[in-house]
Amino acid sequence: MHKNEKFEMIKHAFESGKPAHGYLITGPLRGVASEMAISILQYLFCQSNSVKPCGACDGCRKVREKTQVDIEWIYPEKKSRIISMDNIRKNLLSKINQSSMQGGWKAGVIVGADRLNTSSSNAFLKTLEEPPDKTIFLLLTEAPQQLLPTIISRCQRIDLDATRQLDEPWRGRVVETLSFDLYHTPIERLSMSNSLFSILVDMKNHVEELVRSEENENDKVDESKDVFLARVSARYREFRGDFSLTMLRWFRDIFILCSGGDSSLVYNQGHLDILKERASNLDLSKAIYNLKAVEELTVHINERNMPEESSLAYAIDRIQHGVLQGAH
Amino acid sequence: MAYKVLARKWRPNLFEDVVGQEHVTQTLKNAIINDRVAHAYIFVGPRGIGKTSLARIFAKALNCKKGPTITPCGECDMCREITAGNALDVLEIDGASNNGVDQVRDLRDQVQFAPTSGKYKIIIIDEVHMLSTAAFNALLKTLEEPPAHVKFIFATTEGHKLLPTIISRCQRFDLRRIQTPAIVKRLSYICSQEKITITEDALLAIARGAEGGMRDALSALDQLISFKGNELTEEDVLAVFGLVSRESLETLSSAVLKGDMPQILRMIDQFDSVGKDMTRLVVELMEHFRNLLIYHHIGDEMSTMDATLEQISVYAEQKKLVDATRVLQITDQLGEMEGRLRYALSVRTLIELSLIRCARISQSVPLEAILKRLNALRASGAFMAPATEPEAVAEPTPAPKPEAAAVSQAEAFSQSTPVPEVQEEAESSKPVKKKKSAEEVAQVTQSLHDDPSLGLAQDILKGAKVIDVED
Repeated sequence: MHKNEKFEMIKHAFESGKPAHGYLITGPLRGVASEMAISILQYLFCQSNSVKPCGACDGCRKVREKTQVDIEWIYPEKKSRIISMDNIRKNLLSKINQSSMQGGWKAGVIVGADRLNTSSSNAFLKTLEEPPDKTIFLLLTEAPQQLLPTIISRCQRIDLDATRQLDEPWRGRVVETLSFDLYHTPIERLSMSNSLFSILVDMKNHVEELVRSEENENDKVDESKDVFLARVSARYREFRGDFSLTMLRWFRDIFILCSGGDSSLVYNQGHLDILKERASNLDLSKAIYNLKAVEELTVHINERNMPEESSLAYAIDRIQHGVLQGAH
Repeated sequence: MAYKVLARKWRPNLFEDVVGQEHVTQTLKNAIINDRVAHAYIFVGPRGIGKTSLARIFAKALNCKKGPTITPCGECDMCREITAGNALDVLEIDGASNNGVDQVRDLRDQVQFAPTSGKYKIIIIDEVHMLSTAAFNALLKTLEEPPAHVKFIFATTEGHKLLPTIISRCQRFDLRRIQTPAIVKRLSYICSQEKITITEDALLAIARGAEGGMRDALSALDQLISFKGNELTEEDVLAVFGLVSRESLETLSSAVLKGDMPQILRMIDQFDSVGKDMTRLVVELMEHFRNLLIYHHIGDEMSTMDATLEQISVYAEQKKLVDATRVLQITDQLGEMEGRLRYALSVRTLIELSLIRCARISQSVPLEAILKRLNALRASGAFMAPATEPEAVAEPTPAPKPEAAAVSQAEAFSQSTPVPEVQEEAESSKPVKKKKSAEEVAQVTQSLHDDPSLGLAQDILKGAKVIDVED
């Protein structure tokens, strides 16, 4: 089901007078999940008399600019990117328990609800279950499985299409690199992993630029260096996650072709011929082995914070290649 | 008045309304009837099964103007105040937000005063596991010997986080997950009261998805009503919650058992493109294979447990495709996947990989079968190890399919003609080659069979096992 259809459903819930007081929206935080949250809030705060949300009135504009006084946006803080209990109590619960400034709805939006820790989740439970009238909570997350079950059970879930993709030109570069036939000798493998690592380095530089320019826009120059680095690192993690995903999908495509899956199931349609050739040289158990090697790589660099360069070299070195084995 | 979600509107107000917790409600009722009400209770159990509701009902039962009674009237001032949450004598405290020692000290000071209008001062602390250790300890003395007018009720999802000194001062009640039929019954009652038309299948689907939590079931129902209106069918439930229908699940599991990989991949793609909940799919698949395993062992007796007749006929059909050992291996594989699901970058890829591996399991020849076959060959006199055998074991790396390799070994045995000298050579070379692995497998080898040539066969299989782990 797509975003608009889901939004219509939620609108229907409000119009029939049966809204939930907590919605758990799953999807990319910087993409559809935020868009959905803004649409819902614009619907609530829109001042237009005809079709809501109009997107043009003062109410809609304030929601979009996040300056609406009755909406509290909560983000992960500090270096650890955690939403702390203090943050929840001071910024969210205190506002929610007062009556609204403009006499209408009040809303609390938690961006990255998976970053709530145990104590902040618990501090929030009772209010989430029985909030004051005309109050709505929107919990946005990319990883709903990491939330406490007691939080999930108090919300209505809205799962949005979560197909993520690395931004161009990065995705193209990764796929292009992987498509080179450089798996045969140790030297070739090393140059393959080095090229992949250089993409990561470029990406990190790009993210720094990105965050700096965003800060200049928002006049946030007074923030300390630590905070700046934490923001860079958080954004870079997102990029790196998508980078790993791109690699994973490449080897997944080969695996799919090896196990007799239809070629329409392949993600990298642009490289279908190369993928088919690779697959025809591999048997299924090797394709599975390769996929698992890449999966381990993603765990190493994303979860365990192991050095990227050596992790990449290790993973690429393990990739089994059919042609070489066949030549023997 | 603003709309109240079903879970709040239908919060039970009487002991009788609490579903599936008869062991607790009966005990509490008896305590009231016999005037043996303890001064502190703990309700422990998973989310959405009635802990907070029970605490409130119990408070009403004790403080009702006609009470203490097992049927609080719900009409007197006291009852209404408790329902509304503004009773002076019933303090409902959010343990997670008021978890410091200072707040507990305040509380301790408050309980010294007599109740204003009711008979008891009742302190309900919800999410009590979040109290700090200091806060717990500050409460201990009061909790052991509170004034006669004070009753404590604690509720928590995590009983193991409570101090033993707290638990030993209270009566502990463990609430259960609610059985699916009980949820269905309650849902259908609420639906009839709310004038909602809903099919039995749809109710079953909601209850299945709620995993024993009544609040989950009611939130789901609420969401459905607000999305789809007052007439609901199973398709609506499946569409809104991304659940997979019984038939699709059975087709998918059959494809796994038959080793039909293209079909598996096609179905996963289809589920993914219509936005089915993949995590949920894994859980349902595990349940399916678990049921199949049980059916393997107890057969038609299963009808007494939680499976419908149609499901059982499917299990009977699938039983012919596979033996119990392999079902066990498949459940193992799925269990391993479930553990990794939480951190998976791409849930879909993980599921594809795992199901293909399951399909390979169901198509492979199990160890026991090979051993059996070897044994049979040996008994018939055809068994003979060729001289090159030990080398083949030493270099197993290029073998792609462990089981296939093992089978071809077995075939090699059957093809080789009986030459007595060669057999002796194979036997004499065995201890040299086995030296390293001998200690590891010696026990198993010994216990299975003392015959040295069977030991050799097992070594070959052990070699194959090593590749399997790398797979």
